[in-house]
Order: sequence, then C-alpha cells, then structure tokens
Amino acid sequence: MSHVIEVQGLTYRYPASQANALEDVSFTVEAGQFLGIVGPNLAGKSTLCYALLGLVPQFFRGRYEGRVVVAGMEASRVPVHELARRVGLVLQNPFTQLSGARFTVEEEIAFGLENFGIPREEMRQRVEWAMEQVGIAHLREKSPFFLSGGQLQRLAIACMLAQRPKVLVLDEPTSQLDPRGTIEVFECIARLRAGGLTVVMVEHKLERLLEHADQLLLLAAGRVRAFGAPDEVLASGQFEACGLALPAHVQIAARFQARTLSGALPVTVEQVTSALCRMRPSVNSSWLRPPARELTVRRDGEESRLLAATPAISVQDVEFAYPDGTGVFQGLSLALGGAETGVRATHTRFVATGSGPIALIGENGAGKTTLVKLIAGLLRPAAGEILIDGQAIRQRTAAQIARTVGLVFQNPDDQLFKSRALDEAMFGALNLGLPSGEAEPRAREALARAGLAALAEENPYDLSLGQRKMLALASILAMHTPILILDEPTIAQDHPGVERIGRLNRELRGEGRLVIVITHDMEFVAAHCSQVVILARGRVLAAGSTRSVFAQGELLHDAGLEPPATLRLARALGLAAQPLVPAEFIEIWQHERPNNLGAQSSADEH
Amino acid sequence: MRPVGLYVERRSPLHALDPVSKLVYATCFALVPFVAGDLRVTAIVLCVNLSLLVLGRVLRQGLLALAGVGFFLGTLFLVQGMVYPGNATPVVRVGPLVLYQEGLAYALWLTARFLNLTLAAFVLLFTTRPADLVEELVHAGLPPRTGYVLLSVLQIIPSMAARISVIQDAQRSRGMETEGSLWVRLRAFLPVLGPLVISSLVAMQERALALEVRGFGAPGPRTSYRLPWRHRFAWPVRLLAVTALIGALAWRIMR
Amino acid sequence: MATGTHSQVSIWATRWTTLTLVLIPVGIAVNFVGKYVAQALRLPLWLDSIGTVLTAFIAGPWVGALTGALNNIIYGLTVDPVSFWYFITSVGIGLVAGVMARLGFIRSTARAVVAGLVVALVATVVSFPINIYLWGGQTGNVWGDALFAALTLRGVPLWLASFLDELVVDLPDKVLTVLLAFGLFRALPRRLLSQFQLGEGDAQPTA
Repeated sequence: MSHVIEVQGLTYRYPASQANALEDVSFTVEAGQFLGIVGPNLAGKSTLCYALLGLVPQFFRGRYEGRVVVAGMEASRVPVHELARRVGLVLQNPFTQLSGARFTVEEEIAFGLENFGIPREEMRQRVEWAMEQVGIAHLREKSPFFLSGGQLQRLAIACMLAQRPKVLVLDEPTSQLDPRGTIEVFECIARLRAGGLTVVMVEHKLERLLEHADQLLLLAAGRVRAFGAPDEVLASGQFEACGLALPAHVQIAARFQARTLSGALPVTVEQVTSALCRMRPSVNSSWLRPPARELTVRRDGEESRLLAATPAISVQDVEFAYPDGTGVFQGLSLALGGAETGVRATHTRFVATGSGPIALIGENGAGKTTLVKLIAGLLRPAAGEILIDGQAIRQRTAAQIARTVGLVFQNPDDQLFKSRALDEAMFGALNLGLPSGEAEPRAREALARAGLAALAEENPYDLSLGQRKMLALASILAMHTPILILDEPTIAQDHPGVERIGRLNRELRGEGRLVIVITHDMEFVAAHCSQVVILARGRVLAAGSTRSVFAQGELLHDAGLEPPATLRLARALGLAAQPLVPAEFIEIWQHERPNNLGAQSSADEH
Repeated sequence: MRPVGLYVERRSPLHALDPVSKLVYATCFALVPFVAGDLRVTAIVLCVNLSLLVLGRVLRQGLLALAGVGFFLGTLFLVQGMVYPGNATPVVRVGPLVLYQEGLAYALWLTARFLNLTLAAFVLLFTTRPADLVEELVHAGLPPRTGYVLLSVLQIIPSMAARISVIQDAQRSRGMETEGSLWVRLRAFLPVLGPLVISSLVAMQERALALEVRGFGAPGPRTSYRLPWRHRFAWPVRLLAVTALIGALAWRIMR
Repeated sequence: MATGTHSQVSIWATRWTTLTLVLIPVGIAVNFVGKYVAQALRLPLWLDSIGTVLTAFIAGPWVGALTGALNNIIYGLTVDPVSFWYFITSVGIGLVAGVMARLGFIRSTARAVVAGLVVALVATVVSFPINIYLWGGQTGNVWGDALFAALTLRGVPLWLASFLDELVVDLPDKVLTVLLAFGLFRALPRRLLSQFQLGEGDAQPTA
C-alpha cells in the first residue's frame, strides 16, 4: 500500500497575515484514489492545493511547518518545476490559468512540454494523447479565446495531462461552469481515473463529488474536521458543525436512517433511492395519490399585499440580436413580477407574476444575461417594448434606469475599483446624486445586510471572490432600487453564503421589491424562488410557479437542466407528489407511512 | 477578438517569406536614408518599398494607413517652411507668413525619410503575424522568456479591450454616465480603467502560479513545438538588405 | 504596505521572479488600453504610459524601464514604426517613476503631483532631441507646433523652442498619467504588493 500523497502536521501562514491559513493538517492518499476536499470558504482548501504543488511555501513564502510528500518528493524542498513533472494543478478560472502566449489549442498544450525540453516528436505524441483523453482533438486549431468554459477547463486538464502526472489536483474546477460544462469536466475526470490517475478535487458541488470520491476531507478554518470514507464523514455531524449542509438527498437518507446494503449512509441519489425502496418493499397504491395537504404557496392577505406592491416588468414582442448574430430574440413576450390586470398567458406570451423571487434559468448562451441587460437598458431592442410598471424604458439612459433596476453582474471584478469596501458600497448611491451624508449610512446598512460590516475598511481585492460578490451586491443594495437582478449570485459562495442570499431575497420580497435571479443552482431555485422562467436558445420554454415549471421534466431537459435532487428522488421512487426540498419530501414520506416499520427515527417533525 | 497589429490575411510571396528576413529587410532599408543622407537614394528606396507593397498585395492598406499622418506632414511643410534656420530664399507669401525654399526642401527631406521608414516597416507589418514574428525571433536566439513576455502582450491586449465594454456596462448600471461634458467623461476614466487594471493585476498572480506549474522556472534548454520557418530566399534577402545598408554608408563616405 | 521588519532597501533593487515577468505584459497592455479608453471617452490626451508608470510603482525602476522599452518595441513592431525611436523616452519614464516611488513620492496626492512634474520634465528632456532629429523640432501636436513656430520666428533658439513645444504637450499628459497610476496603485490589495517587496517574510521550513 503506497501513499502517493502524505501530509503531516502542515501548518502555514501567508506573509502579512495574522492567522494561520492551515493548522496541523494531516492525511494520506493512496495511488489511484479520488480525494474530495470540502469545507466553507476561507477554510484553506486552495492553500492546501498549493501546498501539494510546493507553491506554498516556494512561491508564496510565509511561515511553513510540517511535511508534505507527493509522489516521493518533498514539496517544500523540491523545486516547483520538478514537482510539476509528477503533479498537475487545475484552477478555478478557466482563462487565467492558460499560458497566455499561445494562439491555438495544441500549441497551448505543448507549452509546458517546451519548457521541460521534451523532444518535438515526443511532444506531438503527448499532445495528441492528451487531446484524445479529454475529448478536444477536434478543437486543435482553435484559439483558446473562442472556447466555452467547459472546453477551457478540459484544455487546462489536457495541458496538465501532457506532462504525465501521477496526481492531478483540481481547485473548484467547475465553479464557473454551467451544468453541461460541469458534466463534461466530471466525465473527463472519471475517464482519467479509469487510467489510474490519482485525483484530489476541491468542490462545492457535493452531489457530483460524492458520485466519484473515495475519500472526503472536511476542512474548516485551516483545520481538518473530518477525514475518511464519504459516508462516514457525512454521518459524523461535522458538516453541520462547520455551517455546511448535507446534500438534499443525503439529508433525506439521514433523516430516515436509510442504509445501503453494507450498512453505510447512502451518498448518491441512486444509493438513496435503492435504500428507501428497500425500506418500503411494497408499493402502496395510496402513495400514488397526491398528498392531502397542499404544498403550494399560500395565497393569503400577505401575498396579495406584496403582489400589489411589487413592480411589474412587461416584455412585449421584443426582438434583439447582437451585431455578430448571437443572442437572438424574436417576438419575446414575458410578464414578470407584480400583478397586472388582465394579464394571461397565451401560447406566445409567458407569465411569471408573483411577488418573487423569480429565477431565470437555462444554459449558457440561452439569453439570460441578454434579457436582463435589455431590462436594465444596457441593450436596446430592435423592435418591441419593455415596460416597467406600465412605463416604457425606451427614452431613458441606462444610468437613469439604474434608479429603478439594480443589476449585479456575475463578475464582481468588472465593477470594483475603490481602495475601501465602504467607498465601493457608496459608489452607486453617490452616482444617483445622494450627498455623502446620506450615502454612507445606506452603504453601511447594505454592507451589514450582506454580512460584510466588519470588512468595511478593507481593500476589496483583499477579500475572497465570494466576499467580493457580496460587496458588489451591497453596492447595488445601497441604491434602494425597486427591482434587483442578480446574475449568478451563488457561484463561489459556500453554504452560509448561499443561505444569506436566500434570506436577503426573502427580506427584499417582504419590502415589496422584485428580485430576479439568474442561476444554475437548482437547489437554490427550489428552496428560495417562487417563480421560474426557463430560457433556451433565445426563447422562453416555460414560466410560472416553481412547482409547475419543474413538473415539466421534458422542458427542463430540453433546456439542458436537471431538476433538484429531491424531485429526482421522488420521481425515481414513483411518488406522485412533487417535493422540491428535503423538508417537503420528509413530510410526504412521513405522512404516507402506513405502519411503523422497523427502523424509524424517534425525533419527530413538530 | 481583434488581434493586435496591422496584419492583413493574404497569399503573396511576401507573406510566404519568413518573418526574421522581413525584419532584417525593414530595419536596414528604413535606416538607408538616415545613413546615406541623400534625397535621391531615399527616392530609390521608397520606390523599392512601394513595389514590395504591391508584391505583397497590401498597397491599398498601406496607403490608407498613411492617410492618417497626412495632416502632420502638411504642418511639417508649413512650419519648417517658415522657421527652418537655414531659410534664405522666399518662395510663397501667405499673408504675413513667408515660406522659404530651404525650409520646404528640408521638410521634403524629412517627409521622404519618414515615408520610407514607415513603408519599409509596412512591408513587414502588413504581411506578418506578430505572433509568428516573435516565435521566429525565439528560434533565432531571442531568450524564450522575453519571447513569452512579447507573446503574452499580444493576447492580453485583445482580452482586456474586450472587457472594456463589459465594465462600462457594469458601471453604467451603477448610475455612472459616460456621455456628456469633458469633466463627466474624465470622471468615467478610473471607474472603467480601474476594475480592468486591478483585476488584471490580481489575475496575474494566478497566471504566474500556472506558469510555475507548467515548468516556466525550469532550467535547461527549451524545445519548440513549431517547426522553424524555412524559406529559400531567407538568407539572400538578409544579405541583400545588409549590403544595401553598407552600400548607403559607402555612398555617404564617398560623397 | 509591508508588515514585519526588512532591511533598508536600495532604490534600485529588484526582485526578479515569474511574477515580475507576468507583470510586464500587463503593464504594456495597460499602456495600450489606457490610450484606447482615452480615445473612446474622447479625452484630448494620449495617456499611453499609465502601465509603464504603474509597473514602476509596483516593482521598481528597472522593471518600469523594461516595461517601457518593450512597450515601444511591441508598438513599433506591430502598429506604429515611429514609436521604436522613442523607446528611450519610455525607458526614462519607467526609471524616473520607479525612483520617485521608492523615494516616497507616492504617499499622497500632492506628492504624486510633484512626481508627475518630474516625470513630465524627464520625458520632455529625452524626447525633444529625437524630435529635432526626426521632425526638425516639431511634435505633431497642433498647439505645441504653433507655439514652436511662433517662438522660432521671434528668434528663440531651435532647441529651446522644441523643448517648450514638447513640454506643452507632455506636461498635462504625464502629470495626469502619474495621478491616474497613483489612483490605481492605491486601490491595489496589500496581498499583491507584498509579493513584490524585497526581503519580506522568507519561509523557514522546520524539520
């Protein structure tokens, strides 16, 4: 049994930093295994990845103690370029990790080999092999500039593969990719594992990770909180202690103490399905009836009041195309937000009215960002009208519309340029003409709502990506706009961050503001959004309440999406009800429990 | 993405010639007028450059590019005509201003030199991809790290330029105006350039990491994936260019 | 900026690492892009040295000088052959900006203005001889050349008129360039700048 990775007592502090980034970290990885590293943001996961490559301490310097041995080499002593012959590293951002000096895919892959002085003939063989392994051989002549996110990440993997590593370390490789790109990367990794590669992957997308991981390492605040087989780590209770949430299907399995045949906690959707089936061997026909209690949104006085207060967006017969022909809308009609009298859905006009939050979902390239830019006035439709609360926005400039529509862009680094987070939060409010005496308290309040109150004096770029995204959000919050559009707010957020965004959306809804969220995170949509609009290839496929839209499985599939795990679980089990979140599933399952079967949890719902 | 440079996609004998030879040619022939110091020699070399642009099928682009400096050249004649220290013979009177023959002749000399310099460079620039030029320089002995720096500039610029409109949009959606008085436009400069520059610098660290992991710091000789560019007339062209330069020097000495 | 103790560093010392090599292309690109944005916003200035100055602020005079030199070489090899001849100007700008930064002239806006004036002066001094050789003393800027003509006609010596021509053009441009680079520099995170500090927090691996 050979340890290909051995970490003992690793403790590290960055220069100019007050606290240790890693504290006494120890673990081992066998050859051919897949280690998943999980944990909240700022846990030191990236630092650990750097340590495996010797970048910590050789590139970053700082205070270093402990021992890291990878593929027989000691990472703190052996030069990084030597380590790089045995260990590969793939980073989060698909574009910045490229060499930046090669103009075709195959030359990009050869770049590292050139540095290592590999003879030309061997280079060609390795490049061919690497392209085959990740499935991008058909792109060999293309410039990296024109590749999609998923293709770029596979290119990055190919670049590492060509160096023939024994270990591949990946730091959140799918965080900036859409579902299709994510699947491409995971499938690629699975194929490579079959060839004997040892993989270490940091990921937030637990569901996918659990389908592949042999071991899990849970890291929080620089310390190892749990390490071992995935089912043990998930069952250990440490996840919750770190502020993380178990994946939806695992929550359900844990609640009912479902077990696999070997007695372990099931960790994939398939395993949970089988385990629950085993608990109920005979299908009772009564379960095929919808549950007695309605699980729909309650339409009471509260909802009606909010509905009247929420702004209404009406997109009428809009046509739009970019100069190069991409992003084409033809005759797009959509009603969002507050109730307008006499608004009904037709076969060409889609309606997603409600107090929100409204989720806008679809693949990359479906037109989601284009649509919100049209609403925000950054783009002008070639034909048709867009009305906000009955008024056309055609005559107003984007900066004027910014008083009404706050748009938080996906990449916070496209907006942040001040030296203090507080100044950044005030920028938008000041642009609206507020005196700084008013802008500052608003900014402070916005920072507090975004959970950044303690960081008001920090330089924005000293914050992590997740925190910068929150800062960009705070900056728009301080503008007090009636409509708020968030473009992929959950990327780079850990569970507490995602929950904060969900909570914030509910609060904003309660203030009568309309929130529209573009996202790939179906769990977020299921838990926090009341209405959903599906876009695909420039057309609306469906719009309406979350439950009704998710019920249309073929449409989701057509749009390149997957329903949330809870729903998939329910369908796999043949349930008629449509639970979107674990709590609903648990209620249905308990409600329908005919007899008290053997193992049941003593704790009850109420 | 609009690539950096003036390269025009064509098939021509010049396009087929290897970049380093063209560079040697352009350098030598640009310097000939400066070395020879003679307007007649300059005229000859200018004709050579023009014919080469025709050969490379990029004459139209070259002349279009020159149109931009037409105004400046005009002012050269005007100003030098008036103020050249060696002025003695008046030629034209425009109101109170007098233009002298010596000044105009000097302006002609300056213009001819400049045009030659530019056209010689165009022979290279319009028929060569910048990336190809750098690659071939590395083959010819330029240190690979310098080559890396040059090549990465060629990629960073278009990608940064592409982000400008995105950043402008992002800041407009925070209420920043980009049209209006000079003061308004000046105030928009940092909010547009700031995120661009700062995030590029921050991303730069990640790129440096990635380079380390791709063996950038490795000692020892580097190999090249691309085959070197071979052309039958590479050395003849280079020899010819250097000879012309030496000839210009000889011409100056003999006069 | 840097915490912890470090020995007094000479003005000219430089840390050459991969990071420095990656900084230079970004600096050059910022030169290009600064000029582009200035044109897009229709500002009446060149603003094509912001990257050189910023690089010099971050990593010192030699890196700034190298950035300047490579900037003109690239510009000369890709777009504008004439800029080749002015590469010594860019080198001068990079050197001086770096020295001024190390001497502490980027600690406040007022000091940055002084640094801007010095940079403008140096740029002018280095450029005007080239102007005389290539263009008989002109710069191509309408206002500057008009001044040049007026001065020469009044009997001012050629070199002085050319110097003033260049100064009129360079002063507002370079002062603003330095101020903008200063604004950008201040917004950079500590984490980044500390990577360029010398003698800072060296690793002491134990056992």
